[in-house]
Amino acid sequence: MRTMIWKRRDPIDVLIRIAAMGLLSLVAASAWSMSSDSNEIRVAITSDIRSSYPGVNRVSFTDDVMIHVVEPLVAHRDDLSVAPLAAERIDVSDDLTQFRFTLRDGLRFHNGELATADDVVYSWQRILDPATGFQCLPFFDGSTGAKVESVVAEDARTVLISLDQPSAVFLEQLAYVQCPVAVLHRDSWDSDGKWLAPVGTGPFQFLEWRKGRYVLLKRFSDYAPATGPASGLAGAKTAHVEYLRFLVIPDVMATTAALVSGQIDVVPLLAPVNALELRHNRRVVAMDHDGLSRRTLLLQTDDALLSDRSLRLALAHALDLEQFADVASFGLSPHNPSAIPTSDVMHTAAQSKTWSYDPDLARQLLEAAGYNGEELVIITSRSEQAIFDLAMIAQAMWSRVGINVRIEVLDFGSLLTRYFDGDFQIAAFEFSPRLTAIMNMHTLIGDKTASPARWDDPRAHDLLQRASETVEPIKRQRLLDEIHHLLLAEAPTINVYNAPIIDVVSTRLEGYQPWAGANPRLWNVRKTE
Amino acid sequence: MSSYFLKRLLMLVPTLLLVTIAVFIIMRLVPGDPVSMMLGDIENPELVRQMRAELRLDDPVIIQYLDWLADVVTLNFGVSFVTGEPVIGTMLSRLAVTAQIVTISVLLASCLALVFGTLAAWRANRRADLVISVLAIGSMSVPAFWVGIALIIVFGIKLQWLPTVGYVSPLDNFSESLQFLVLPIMALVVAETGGLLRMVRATTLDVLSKDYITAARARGLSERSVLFRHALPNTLIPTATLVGFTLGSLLGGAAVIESVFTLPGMGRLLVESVYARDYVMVQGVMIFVAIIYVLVNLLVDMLYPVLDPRVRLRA
Amino acid sequence: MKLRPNAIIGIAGLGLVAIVAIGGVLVSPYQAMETNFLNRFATPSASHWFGTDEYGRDVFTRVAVGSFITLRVSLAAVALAIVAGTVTGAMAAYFGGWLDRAAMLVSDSIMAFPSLLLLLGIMAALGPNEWGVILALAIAYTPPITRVVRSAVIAALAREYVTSSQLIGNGDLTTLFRHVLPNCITPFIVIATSVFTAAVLSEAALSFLGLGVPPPAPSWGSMLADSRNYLGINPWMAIFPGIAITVTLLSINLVGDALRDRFDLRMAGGD
Repeated sequence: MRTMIWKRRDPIDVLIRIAAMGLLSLVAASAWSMSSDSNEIRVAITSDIRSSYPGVNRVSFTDDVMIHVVEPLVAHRDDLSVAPLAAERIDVSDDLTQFRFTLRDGLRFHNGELATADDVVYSWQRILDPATGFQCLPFFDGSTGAKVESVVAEDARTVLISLDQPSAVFLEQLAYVQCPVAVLHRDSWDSDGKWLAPVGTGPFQFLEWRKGRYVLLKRFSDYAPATGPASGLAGAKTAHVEYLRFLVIPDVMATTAALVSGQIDVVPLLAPVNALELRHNRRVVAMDHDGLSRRTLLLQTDDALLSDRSLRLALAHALDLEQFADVASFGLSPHNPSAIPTSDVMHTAAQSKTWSYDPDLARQLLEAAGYNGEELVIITSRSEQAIFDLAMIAQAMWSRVGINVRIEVLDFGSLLTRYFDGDFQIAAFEFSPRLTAIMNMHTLIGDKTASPARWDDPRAHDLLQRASETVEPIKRQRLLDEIHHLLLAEAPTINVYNAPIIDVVSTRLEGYQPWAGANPRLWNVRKTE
Repeated sequence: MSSYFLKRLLMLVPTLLLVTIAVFIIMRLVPGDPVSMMLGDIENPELVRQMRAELRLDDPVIIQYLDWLADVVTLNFGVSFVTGEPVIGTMLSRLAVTAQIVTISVLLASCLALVFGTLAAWRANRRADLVISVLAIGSMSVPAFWVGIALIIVFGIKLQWLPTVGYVSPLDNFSESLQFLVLPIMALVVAETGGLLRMVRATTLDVLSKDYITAARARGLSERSVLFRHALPNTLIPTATLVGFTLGSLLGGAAVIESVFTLPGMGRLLVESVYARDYVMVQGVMIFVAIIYVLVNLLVDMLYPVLDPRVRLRA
Repeated sequence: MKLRPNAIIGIAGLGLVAIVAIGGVLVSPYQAMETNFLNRFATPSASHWFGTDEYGRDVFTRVAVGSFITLRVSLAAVALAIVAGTVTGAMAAYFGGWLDRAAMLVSDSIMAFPSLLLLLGIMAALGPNEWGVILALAIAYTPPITRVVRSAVIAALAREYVTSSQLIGNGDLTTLFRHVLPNCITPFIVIATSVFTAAVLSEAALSFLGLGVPPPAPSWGSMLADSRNYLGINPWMAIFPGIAITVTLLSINLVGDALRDRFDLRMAGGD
């Protein structure tokens, strides 16, 4: 009696057939070609750009987008030296206080208007207004050196910037990719001075921003490139593709999958292990370059235990730093004990000197320090695989000589707070790229009352102060080498390596090159069918 | 009926107050603040001071709470610390994504559960029931994110049939949006069907053992009308309750599946905002999720009289 | 009492998990956090049965130790939730009035609160540790137990033995804990097993999101999360922890079913 309604056929069979047919048709319906066309290059970014206001409400992905849209007066070359960009000429007075910029011939805004010196002055006023919240304001308001006294339009194409005191680093600061004082049209703001969207002078124009999903740029057809070979963010740029899309993909695995299936063309700054995974794939190619980010183990010299220099040196000598860097970077980066990146011209042989790997010496030093198995805590975060790896590898190596280290995992926000408070014994940390040797040294040396995580040594302060004021390269070099020498003697921090830059790109792209500054550059890049 | 609805809505108020107070306290206990997260390792104390003042983070917590509450009462959820966008707009666009995935998959899962659950109960302890029950308990035991990973490996990486990343709104491009929805929906359906199915099977069994079913059968009614006219309506209420519960908790808690497939949904918004210490956004999402959860359950309650005319709602 | 097949399979599954866990810890020559950077991403072999992970750690040992962590965390959380839920549920039902209303308000609030944020908040406040996870899971799972106990107690209160207990001069608490609660054992066992399953699943999901037991301690969820970045290099890293979670959940579900069949006629599997 019960079989009456389904008697013609086994009901499960019917239902499974229906379900399978439904599923298959769904799959078939959606299996269109997914690869992007040759008019559009797609770049993966791991989080959204936060705002389109360069240098203000920004993260590194904001910079990645903005280098294509806006141009500051000057920019870094591949070798990190400074070249004109929106300017075509720079005249610097002998006393290093007057900087005269002549705007590039044919410099044109995305709305079609020619850029004038007045626009430069207007942009300066807006961006440097303390209410704006420009992240690098201390560079220019006198709080960390020279103050910009005035920005004046001398004629339609000439701008004069005057400082209250000589500055050897003004142009370097002006070129800083994180906070460009870009040449912007006044339509970038509304009448109340509220930010709208960038109307810049770059080779691409800002078209659409779908929050949390993508930023779309369009080729600026009236772009008149600067002269000189393309290098760094400077030189002649040509946009070869119609569209440039920055897709927000927070997940590494999803990113590599999308790259392999041709949905995206460029994955900047992939972790070595993920690049390794792709090495046999014929559709993509991984390109690497020495980077600037410093991956380091900070030792708190104010800590009860670690104030003992012998213990700090024991920690340093217990690490096989060559192997450490090799393992952590998957063989891509050498160990770099210096705060100056290997790719910087200021990184000489003297900066490569490091602590010997010597477990016996480490044990002797431990004994001298009276270390008796006390627990040391290293703080790190899971949000950044690389700094988690730093802690993991260090702990493993330290345990071999009997140093008892516990790993404390924090979320990145908490790690950052503990770093700023100096509230740690050992911290696995990564400093974001600084483009000059002096700036990098400033992330190492500092006043403990203001920045408790830094190395506070009067000798180091003195050397750094003198180096910053020295214009002559050889003398400056000598002072920087002395700082490194002191670092080896004091071990306030153990620098391990500079993060390698690995950009993985589709083989359909022609002309792509990674560089030390790390931001992906999509001008002068073609996409084949 | 409307007074019942009103009373239920009023009962929401103390719940929401408790939730928001708890969120406020917890978020302030977490180290770090939105300003330091935005600036990273760049040191600029003056800017930090200025931004903190702008976001009014230096006011006493109780004042911050009361200010925020006063705004929320007037339906002003504030502006994200991080993006400067209105919280309500971000939440609605994220909710749209989550809602699509969750409602479609819960709907599919419910249909599968109703069909196969009824079938299993009807063929209780036979081969069909055994197969279905094993599958159901398997579905309950497999974590959705593991299913998601497996689907990505098979369809995204090995076969390369479907995109594994991103999202296109069906309003922009319907057929393209389907491609992005298929895998997450499949993962959720696999993981959610089991629980619903077992519920349907158990209630149907329960109903089938009732006297009126025996009576109906005794009256010589066909098995079809016994199942569909008498048994099925009685299984709908408990099922609807569970569907409502699943829907409610998934709308707020689909973070895991959203992370696996990188969908810009509510769950991921919450996790991201917590990590970025975007207090205003976290509070907004929390209150929003709580309201949705309660409303969905209320809606299910309101459906009872529709599903079963014998039920009357009393205020 | 005859054991049903689901109970047998479930108990066998739990036994298997226990054997792997205990045996793994006893037999394995490796430590769960012992790294070997020269042997990373090894595929399964005689020396590493489940292969090795991104730090060259033995996956078999980590799965085994991970089972202790997962089960310890889930059991502790469920135990805490049971104690808290029983006490509040029973008191709310027995004493009624404002106590009942307050208990229900707090329960509703917690249930309208995604456990994710609760967990992150509590962990951040306590510092990242196992107790934070336990406490957060316990808080998240107390309300359903409270509700079940409350309604069971309300039903039991209507029975004669309660009145007689009160008549012979027993205090409220004696009546409640000696006479009322023991009569509510059936729904109690059913809800406890289902909460336990949910706790294991939540622990894995939260670890997967990076909000669980902090690494480098091995937890199945965080092992799965780790493996995601390396699927192209060593998919085995994802397979074994996934199997471990599924087998454990399957076993608990089957045992839970058997208990339900045994105690609760309404949900019975047969006709």
